[in-house]
Amino acid sequence: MAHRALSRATPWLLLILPLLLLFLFLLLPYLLTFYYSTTGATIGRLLNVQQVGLKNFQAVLSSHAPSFLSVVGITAVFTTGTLVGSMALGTGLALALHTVSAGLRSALLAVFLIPWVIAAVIIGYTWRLIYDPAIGLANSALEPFGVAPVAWLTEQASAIAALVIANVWAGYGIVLLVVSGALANVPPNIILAGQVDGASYRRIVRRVILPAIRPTFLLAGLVALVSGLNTFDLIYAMTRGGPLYQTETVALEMYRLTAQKGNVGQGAAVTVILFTVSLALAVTYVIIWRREARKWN
Amino acid sequence: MKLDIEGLTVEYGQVAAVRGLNLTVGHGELVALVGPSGCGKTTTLGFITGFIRPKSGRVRFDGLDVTDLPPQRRGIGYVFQDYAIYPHMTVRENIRFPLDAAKVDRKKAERDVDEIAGLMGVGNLLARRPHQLSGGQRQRVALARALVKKPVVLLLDEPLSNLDAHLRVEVRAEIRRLQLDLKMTTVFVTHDQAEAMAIADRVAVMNNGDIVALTSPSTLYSRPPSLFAAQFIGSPQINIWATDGPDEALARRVIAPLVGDGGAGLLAGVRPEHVMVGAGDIKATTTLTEPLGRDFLVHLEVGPSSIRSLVPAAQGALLKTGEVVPIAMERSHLLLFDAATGHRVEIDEAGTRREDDTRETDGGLAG
Repeated sequence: MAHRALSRATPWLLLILPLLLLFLFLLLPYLLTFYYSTTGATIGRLLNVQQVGLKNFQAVLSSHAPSFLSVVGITAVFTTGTLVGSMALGTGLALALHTVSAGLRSALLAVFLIPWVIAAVIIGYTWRLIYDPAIGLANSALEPFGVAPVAWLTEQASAIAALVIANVWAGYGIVLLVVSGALANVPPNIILAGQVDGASYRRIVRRVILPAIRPTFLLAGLVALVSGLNTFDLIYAMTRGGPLYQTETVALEMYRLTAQKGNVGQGAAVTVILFTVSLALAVTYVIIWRREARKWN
Repeated sequence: MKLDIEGLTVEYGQVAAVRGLNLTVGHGELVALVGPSGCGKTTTLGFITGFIRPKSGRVRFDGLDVTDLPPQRRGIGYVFQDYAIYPHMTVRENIRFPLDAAKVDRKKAERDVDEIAGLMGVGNLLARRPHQLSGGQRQRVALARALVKKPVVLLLDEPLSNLDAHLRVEVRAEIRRLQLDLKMTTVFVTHDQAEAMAIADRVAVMNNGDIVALTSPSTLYSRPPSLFAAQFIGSPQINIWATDGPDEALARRVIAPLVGDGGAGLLAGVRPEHVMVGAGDIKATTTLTEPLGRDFLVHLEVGPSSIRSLVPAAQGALLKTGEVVPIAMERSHLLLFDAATGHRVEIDEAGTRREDDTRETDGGLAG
């Protein structure tokens, strides 16, 4: 009897440490965040905090300078730009690489993945240099075309565009990697069949290849979307959300409220909002993916 | 449409997959390319389609050189071994795909799809998706998609190998009937010699990247032009004994009626069904009997030589292992091959040897 009880307990004994780590570093912070979002906690006072109900959410949603609506708007534009840009660039490159020989493909893939493995802060500072109005590469590259020097990061529109370009550069790698993997699994014969059936390359891509990798394509989109939504380090390195909150996204707002203003409660409220939106997107994806999978097999 | 391949050579790196192959397929003819794996048959099909760039060689459709046209513009119907049905499209969308690509008017396209689907017996499956189809149904959808655009030539790459045995025979007959009805010029690739024999007007046996025999199924069986063809075609395999080596005694005895003592450098070949058990002047020992249903395959030994014989089941059931029986070879079915070249040789009354040259003289046959 004792032997059986022990053998039944063995998996749990083995799992105790990983589960504990998971709880400490993943689940506990989440739970604390949810908890703090309903309290008046500050950086200086994290214990014996006062319960404030939904007041933090109210404060965040009705805040001025910047208004939450403008922060959400900027986040939406930045995220959409990142999503569309990295999907287009990553998928385009993956399709192009799909047509070259396997050896050359892996070599080029390694090269094209370099930006993705560089820390976002480094990419941020590098692009800040590129956009520098006086010494930056962007202006010197445009000079021959008769474009007057642009102060990229000081106007809202150009600053957001500059951030999107930098973020696409930093993030298209994951799309490229995932889509490349999916393309490698497309049965080569259905592409050949498309050729015999008289379809142009464009038609084959649109009607045969992309539908065949649709579930993975959607997954890449989700990853790009969520990473756009959560981008903090790159924006912080390039603009710090400025000038005058003009490039402040939800992720930066979260940091500003918590770390700079010390208002842990409000920062946590923003975090909860961001978390909920990300979760909703992920769940939507899973539902779509399941429906797709049912259609196929 | 008449299909001509001239001097096709394809190399993968240093390895030649096809070497100097020539083939003419007449209008409405069905030629089967058969050979062991790696003999170059699928490569040849890939060249006709335009998937594969050759080192040299031309392909002509009714005399028109299409070698430099992309696959899209050749108007070929191709059925892949794995069918290559578009997994995310319904059966209807699959069959309509070639018509959409050709920008055929939607109404006419739908009519054509309905017509060919009816002909192929998949008319009631048009709304289904590929994963809801059986192997045989997928096969028919693939054929319908290949035929809907009224191709100039139909290429079939091992189309039956993913089907189970009884379905294979059924679909084989269907393909042949359809091909005859439509008078469709067809190249059929298979590794199964029986399948090739059953379906083709002419069979092209391939080995090492070239056609080593090209003739009608019956000639190929009864008068194979080469040793390779003789051994590749027919199951159980033909008996071959060399006049040099361990089989010398038996081989010389078998061919003596034809060549007397002058049998040097020859191979004697007798198909198992032409080895008669129960009468004759050769004494053989039975080593094993295998019931095959209609027949028994009997393994025999004469000295160091082994012999395969096919006898009717009623007779085979009575044979016992270890039993010594008289056997005889049917002289009219005795085949001789040159040991050095592998070509079949015929010997006339004067005793002169003449090599079979079927491969060179047997050109296109109008279907």
